[in-house]
Formats: sequence, C-alpha cells, structure tokens
Amino acid sequence: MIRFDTVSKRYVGGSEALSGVDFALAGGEMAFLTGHSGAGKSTLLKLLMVMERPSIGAVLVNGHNVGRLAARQIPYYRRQLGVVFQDHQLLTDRSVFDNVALPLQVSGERTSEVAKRVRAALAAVGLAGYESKRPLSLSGGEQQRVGIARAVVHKPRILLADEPTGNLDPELSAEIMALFKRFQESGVAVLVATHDVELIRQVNCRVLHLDHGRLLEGGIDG
Amino acid sequence: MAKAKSNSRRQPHRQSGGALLRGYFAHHWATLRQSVSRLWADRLQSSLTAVVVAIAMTLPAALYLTVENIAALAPPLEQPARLSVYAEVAASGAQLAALRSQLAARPEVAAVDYISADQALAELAASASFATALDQLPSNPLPALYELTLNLSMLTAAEPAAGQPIVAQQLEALRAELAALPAVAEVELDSLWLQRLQAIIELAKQLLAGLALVLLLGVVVVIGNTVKMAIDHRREEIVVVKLVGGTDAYVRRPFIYAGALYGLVGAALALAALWLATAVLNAGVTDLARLYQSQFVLRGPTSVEALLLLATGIGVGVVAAYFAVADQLRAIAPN
Ligand SMILES: Nc1ncnc2c1ncn2[C@@H]1O[C@H](COP(=O)(O)OP(=O)(O)O)[C@@H](O)[C@H]1O
Ligand SMILES: [Mg+2]
Repeated sequence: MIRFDTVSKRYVGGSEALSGVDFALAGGEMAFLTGHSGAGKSTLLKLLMVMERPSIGAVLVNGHNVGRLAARQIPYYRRQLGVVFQDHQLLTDRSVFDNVALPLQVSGERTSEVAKRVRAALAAVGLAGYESKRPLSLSGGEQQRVGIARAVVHKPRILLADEPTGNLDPELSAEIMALFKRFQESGVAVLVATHDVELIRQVNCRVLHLDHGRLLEGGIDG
Repeated sequence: MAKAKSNSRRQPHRQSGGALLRGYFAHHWATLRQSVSRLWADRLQSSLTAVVVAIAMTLPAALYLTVENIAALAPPLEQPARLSVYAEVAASGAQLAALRSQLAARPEVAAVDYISADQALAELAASASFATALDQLPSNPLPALYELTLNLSMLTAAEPAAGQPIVAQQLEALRAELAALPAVAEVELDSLWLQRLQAIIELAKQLLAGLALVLLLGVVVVIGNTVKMAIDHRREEIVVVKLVGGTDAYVRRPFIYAGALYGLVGAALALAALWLATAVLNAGVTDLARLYQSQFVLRGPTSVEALLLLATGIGVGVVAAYFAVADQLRAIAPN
C-alpha cells in the first residue's frame, strides 16, 4: 500500500532530513515511526501527505508516485488519507460536529450522509453525543479523539498520526493507541510517529526507527 | 422510496450525479450564508471597507453622470450644423444668383435658405422701434443672407490635427473656403461653440475613464486587504481544509463570496448616494429650469447603469479576493 523507494528529502537551505529511506507498509498493517527529535519523522509523514515532495526517490501509494502529483490532483489523493496531529488542529470556531464533518464537506458529500457518518465516527472514538460541543470545552484526550474521528470519518485506507499522544498522560495515550489498533484490525494501514518508547513497548507492532534521517531498523532490509 | 434506501445502504460511497449536484449547491448556499454571517460578526471592519469601496465607486459614477447631464443639455451633434453666408452689400443680382447656385451645388450643403436684403430690411422694419430710424437711411445697408443647412456626413475629410474632433476642423475648413468665394462678405459658423463643447465633453469622458480605472484599482487594493486580514484570522482553517482534501476552489470560495459581498454592498451604497444626490439636486434644478422655460431634469443612474455598477462591484471584489487567496494558497503548496 505504501512504499518508500530510496527517498531523500533536503529542505531548502537545510541539511538532509531524510536520506535513502526504503520501506513498505501493507494494507491493514500498523507501524510505529520512532526516533529522536529532528530524526525526520514528521518529514516522512509530510511526504505521504504531499505537504512536501521528496528531493530524491519515489513515495508510492497504491503504486502511484504521489511525490509527482500535480497540484490539482493532491486534494483528491489526500481524501484517501486520514491524518492526526499532536496539536489535533481542531477549528475552535465551530462545533465538534462541524470539525468532524470537514473531510466529508470538502468532497461534497450529501448532508444526510454527512450527519450519519459523523455520528458513527464519534461513536467509534467513544464520543457519541458530543456533536454540538465546542472543542475548547473538551479535555485534551477528548480533543484528540475528535481529531481521530475527523481522520477516519471518510473511511480512509491509510491513517497517519504525528505524535498523537504527545500531550496526553499514559492512560489516555494507551486508549488512543487501542483506537488505532482497532482501525488497523478493520483493514486500515496505520503509521504512527512517536518518541514515546513506553507506549511502543505496550503495543506489539512493527517499529521503523529513524536516526538523523536514516532508517536504522524496520525497513525493507533492516 | 424503500428501494432507494436499500440502494444507498449497499453503496455508501457512491453518489448519483444529481445528489452530488445538490450537495454542491447546498455547499455554495451554506458558504454564502456563512460569509454573510462572518461579515456581520465583523460589522465595523466590514462597513468600513464597504464605505471606502462606496466612495471609490461614487466618485467616477458621479462624474460620469455629470458629463452625461451636460451632454444631454447640449443639443446633439447629429442636429444639422448651420452656416450663415453674408453677401457683400454691393453685390449685383447676377452675382447673388451665381453665388446661390454655387452654394446649392456643394455636396455638403443640404439646403439653402435665401433671405434677400429687402426681406431682411422688411423684417427689421416690422419691429416698431426700428421703423423710423430705417426710414432715414438713403439705401438698404443690409446684406443678402444665405442660411445653409449642412449635411455633416458629406464633409470632405481634412487631415486630422491632434486633440480636435474631425468635424470641427472640417467645418472650419469649409467656412474658410466659402469666405473666399466672390461676392461673399462673411461666413459665420453657428455651431462652433457646440463643437467646442462636444470636444470638452469627449475629453472629460477620457479623463473619467482614466480616473475610474485608478479608483477601481483602489477598490481592488481595499477589498484585497480586507480579505487578506480575514485570511490571516483563518490561516489555520485553510491549512486543515487543504490537509483533509479541500481543493483550492473550496478554500477560495468563502473569501470570493466575502469579496463579492464587499463589492456589492459598496456599489449599492454608491448607487444610493447617487440617487439621493440626484433627487436633492433636482429640487433646485427644476426651479432653475423653470426660469429658463426648460423641461430639463438631472438624470440619475438608469437601471442598466445601476446593474452595471453592481456587477462591477461584484467583479472587482471577486478579482481582489482571488488574488488575496492565491497568495496564501501558494504559501502552503508543497515543494
Ligand atoms: N520546513 C523545514 N525547513 C527546513 N528544515 C526543516 C523543515 N522541517 C524540518 N526541518 C528539519 O528537518 C529535520 C527533520 O525534522 P522533522 O521531520 O520535523 O523531525 P521529527 O519530526 O523527527 O522531530 C530537522 O533537522 C528539522 O530541523
Ligand atoms: Mg515531528
């Protein structure tokens, strides 16, 4: 489903954030992406979201080289992804419902269908009945779960999360991980960037270890 | 009904074209309503922008109407221009007859009205105050007069000189030519002032077009800046929308609507100001016109002009917003 083929990324005026990264992730597979701060975890995820393009190599998703997507094709590609951030990026000026509905609204989904799917997504993250609340009135863990509901509401085949538990205590972090695990079991490819070693130990799955932009462990050959 | 329901359950991802279209219009409608409520929530800034837009649009529109009203006051150029050709007092009957046929033969001359010296004297004598004075004269001092009605389309083309309407030059050339004919004492061009006025109106129209262009650019800047501020407040939202697969058009839409609304409201205010000003001025003008026994009334914007102004406002607002959002979209495009 996802394949990195000797991918390097050098930011304009910066050093190399990723060097010759090779790995593959199958559909329904879950992996952690670990490494020190500045190792290149976020950069790797951004290449998958096409927020950045690789300097060398190919990022393949379902066989398509997404690094070469034309600007006007990027939105349609992104609709196949679910993305979760550490700072959850909820829009504070609108309700939980409107936040979760956003990925459906941008693709022009019917209103009745939107309502149905948003309720289902909120129920899946344990927030049934939270539709009309405002993000700022929720706890950190609840906010992050709203972010996850938004990431899965359109039933993506790929779920990407960048430090999704960075601001949460261990108990809440474990809950979030259990959620990701559930999505993986339903056939979604899940890639979670985190430097929370304790969390990785608890959840038994594949680990991709980045160090100064190089994949040391968990790649195709490593 | 039941069938449609089971269908949609079987294919949750599929949407018929009609449903997609409905969703599309629903989205446009929702975006427009949202834009209106956002502008309303930020009333002070919004009305400030709309007022500046209104002023920038009222100025050229008011000048345009002024020129139009002056042009309406001046008789139209299409009305045949007239030349008065005065014969020399000493000219003989044969000379006068020759001159008459010479004038009538010219292609530019549509008609010749001949007023003989005797006729002129009789007309003058008809007004009582002159009668006794005229009796004292040994001979008729008045010249014979030919009043020519010109066919402007037949004027021979002269080399156009810069800055003057061709018609005025041609009339002047014709006047000089006729003045040189034998037995002609003087030729008066009755409509020269009219030509000059038309020239001034033409010039004013050109200046106006330039001014309107500059002010419209000003409107673009004002609306563009206001939209930019709105974008700054919603930068985070734009990033999120783009990340979950929103197209550039989707991101642009609410701002385009906002720009269009600023333009529309600004133009509507400008229109209101113009109509109000016309009404107020007309109260004075009709009194003045009555003194001169004229039916003249100042005209405000016609409905076509009003629609044009509103459309211009919307168009300029859309263009301004488009460029303001394009900047932001470029900033978050991948590289
Ligand atoms: N937009 C950017 N421009 C320049 N350098 C960047 C940019 N983003 C990240 N980097 C650099 O790339 C390296 C990897 O960063 P990142 O992928 O954010 O690491 P991580 O997420 O593992 O902490 C770091 O050295 C960082 O400074
Ligand atoms: Mg990071």
